[in-house]
Amino acid sequence: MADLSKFVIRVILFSVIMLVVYFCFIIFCAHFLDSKLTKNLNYRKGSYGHMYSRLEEIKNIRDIDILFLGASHAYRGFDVRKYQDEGYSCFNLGSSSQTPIQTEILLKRYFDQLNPKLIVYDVYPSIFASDGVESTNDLISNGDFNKEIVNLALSQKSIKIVNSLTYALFDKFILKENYIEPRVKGEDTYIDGGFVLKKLKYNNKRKYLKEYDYKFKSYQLEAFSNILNFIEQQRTEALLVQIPSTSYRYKAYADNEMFDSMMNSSNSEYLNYNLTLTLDDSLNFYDDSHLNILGSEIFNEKLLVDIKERLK
Amino acid sequence: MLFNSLDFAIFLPIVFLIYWIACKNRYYQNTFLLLASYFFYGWWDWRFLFLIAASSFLDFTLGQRIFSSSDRKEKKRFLIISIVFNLGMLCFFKYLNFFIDSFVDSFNLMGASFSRRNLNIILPVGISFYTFQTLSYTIDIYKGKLNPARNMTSFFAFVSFFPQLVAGPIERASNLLPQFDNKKEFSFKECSNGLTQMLWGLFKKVVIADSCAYHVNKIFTGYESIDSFFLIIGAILFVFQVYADFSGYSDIAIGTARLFGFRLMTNFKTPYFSTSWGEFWKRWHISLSSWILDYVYNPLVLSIRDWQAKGIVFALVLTFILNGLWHGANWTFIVFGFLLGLFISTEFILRFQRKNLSKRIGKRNMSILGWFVVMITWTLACILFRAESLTHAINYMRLIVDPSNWIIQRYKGLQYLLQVFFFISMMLCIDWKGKNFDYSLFFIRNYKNSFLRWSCYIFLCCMIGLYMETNDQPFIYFQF
Repeated sequence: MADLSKFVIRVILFSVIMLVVYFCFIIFCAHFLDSKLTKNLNYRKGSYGHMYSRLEEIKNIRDIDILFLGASHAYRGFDVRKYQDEGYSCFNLGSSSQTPIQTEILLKRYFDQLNPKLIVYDVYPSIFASDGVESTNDLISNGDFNKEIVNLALSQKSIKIVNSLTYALFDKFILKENYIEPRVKGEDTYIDGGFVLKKLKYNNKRKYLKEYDYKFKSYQLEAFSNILNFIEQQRTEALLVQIPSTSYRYKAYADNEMFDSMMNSSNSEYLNYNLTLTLDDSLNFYDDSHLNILGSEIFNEKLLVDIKERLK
Repeated sequence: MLFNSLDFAIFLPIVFLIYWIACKNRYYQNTFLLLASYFFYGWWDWRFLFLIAASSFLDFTLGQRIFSSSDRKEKKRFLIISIVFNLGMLCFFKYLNFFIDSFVDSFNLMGASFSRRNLNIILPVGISFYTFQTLSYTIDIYKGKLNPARNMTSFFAFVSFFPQLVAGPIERASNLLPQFDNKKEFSFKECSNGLTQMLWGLFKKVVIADSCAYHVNKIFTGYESIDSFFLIIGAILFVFQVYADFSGYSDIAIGTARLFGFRLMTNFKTPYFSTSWGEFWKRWHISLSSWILDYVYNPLVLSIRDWQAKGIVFALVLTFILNGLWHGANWTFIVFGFLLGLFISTEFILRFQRKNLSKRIGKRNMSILGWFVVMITWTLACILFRAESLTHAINYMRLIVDPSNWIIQRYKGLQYLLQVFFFISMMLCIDWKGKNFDYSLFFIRNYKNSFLRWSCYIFLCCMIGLYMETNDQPFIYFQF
């Protein structure tokens, strides 16, 4: 028995030392190594999609008419300037690879403050099939460190998130660096209100994609249902939209009819713009799934008409 | 419950502590291990438990009958029942749909029109492993090499022993069963060894095998649009994936068994340093190769000894075809086995020429040449192992040798590919350094300086945390 106690104590001691060293190792890697060399460490403040600027800006936003939610399609597709020109106050809270589990957190966190009259939520099959790790990393890197983020991170059981969380502890409580994200990064410009404007580019990629046979994750479906219930409880109107993607990407989704019927069966109204808008795969997109500024203009004009009817 | 899952990380310490603290005698230890093993196995699908219990019960009873019977014919009858039941079960669950498909295909080729109607059969995890284990038990009793198990609990625990239940090593009753006969005493050294071996196995699995798998899946799936260079890289990566995956699994299994005071047989002895095919099969999946050698090859060679060298070649090819078929119900595995049989037979046929060549060019050069031959031919065989079908394998190989495909295109994710090669080199260095030990990382345990020792372990943990593949990749041998 003495040997067993000694063994257990050794294992515990090793685990503690290992955790401390691991913590230091992650900090070292995040600071000194290029992100390409640190496969499972994606802590990037001011990462792709200007989430840091968006979360800084939202702190000063109150009582708006329209709140946009969704993944990169959303922050690159919903051009807030169009709606502001028409007199609507709005904010685009889209973020890279945002999935329902992150949308739920963001919505609940900012709803009381923003008090929107209409919530426009971009939905498409991939967001329900994704594990959401990339987006959680984005939130950890660019948002506040709080209990809900820790709970979300732990529920996902991913080493990538644990690593980001480890570094976030150091960054937000010890380093406390004052970071200012540049408005212009490469081809992207951050526009007040959360929209990201990309320099005009056209889609020159191949025009064929293999069928994307997705399997929805139960926790994403549960979070989606929570989102809709929450919006209903707040007596706010929700509009589910599917922002257009190139015709060949849209066709690559295994079962669009099933997805449409799933969205239509929710209590909120659903508009699939892949079916109602005719866009050019090369001229109106900059890659196979994102609208370029020309495509976004056509899309927003149509959406604006639909929104106006609902906000009368 | 996979070894690299969170479920197992919770299950193992609980079982370990209860086993050593609460189980005071052999009976309690075996009973608790049996319950833990059934819980572990039932985690996949509780229905599998009936199958393993039935198999254990039948072989336990038949073992007793074979031993106690004085009539040679009766002994043989009981043995045949055991063989028919075990192989029948294996054939039904693993090969029935394959046989139906092959039957329909061959008749359709001849012009007859048969419609395909496959049965919806779930393959129980680990069935190929534990049926071979129980088969060896009854055969050894029949041959008089082994006495039957004294009590049922020990035997049931032996068949279902969770560290090696789902993917081996395929233990011989003569090695593992007697270990259930004595009360286990806790050994600090054995448990530390077990943990070290598990850590090494986990590193090989989650850092090397799973990272290789990411690229291998990408290359083998999209092979039609990939150039020859990266097709070769894909095949080489699979060679290391299958080794790191299975030897990693074996290390975790053997390490886990050590935590409970059991010694399982070594399953891999740095096979990629083999300089001949004969040597390779003494180092690769040793528990299966030695099983097939003892129960298939040797009796076969003895029965056709009049054929002399031709008999050996025939037995080798047939044995390796069976070895290939054991891996799975697919023609790719049969051709894979046939190729291996061909390689090792060729080596046997050319044994005198090889000796002469060795004298001419020197032993060292001969070893290097031998190593190249083994690695190149093994890589070729591995393409068949990985391919979904024979057409897939043939097209893959055709594209490698197609001169119009000899261009180097851009590969997305090249930096990650280089990282994988770095870790493969690291694994090979450690394998080389530890090639004479029980397991490769064992040499670190000889370091007297505990700071150095712990630093090595912590380094491996850090590498696992930073570089493990996060997409779920089941162990390759679980499908067998």
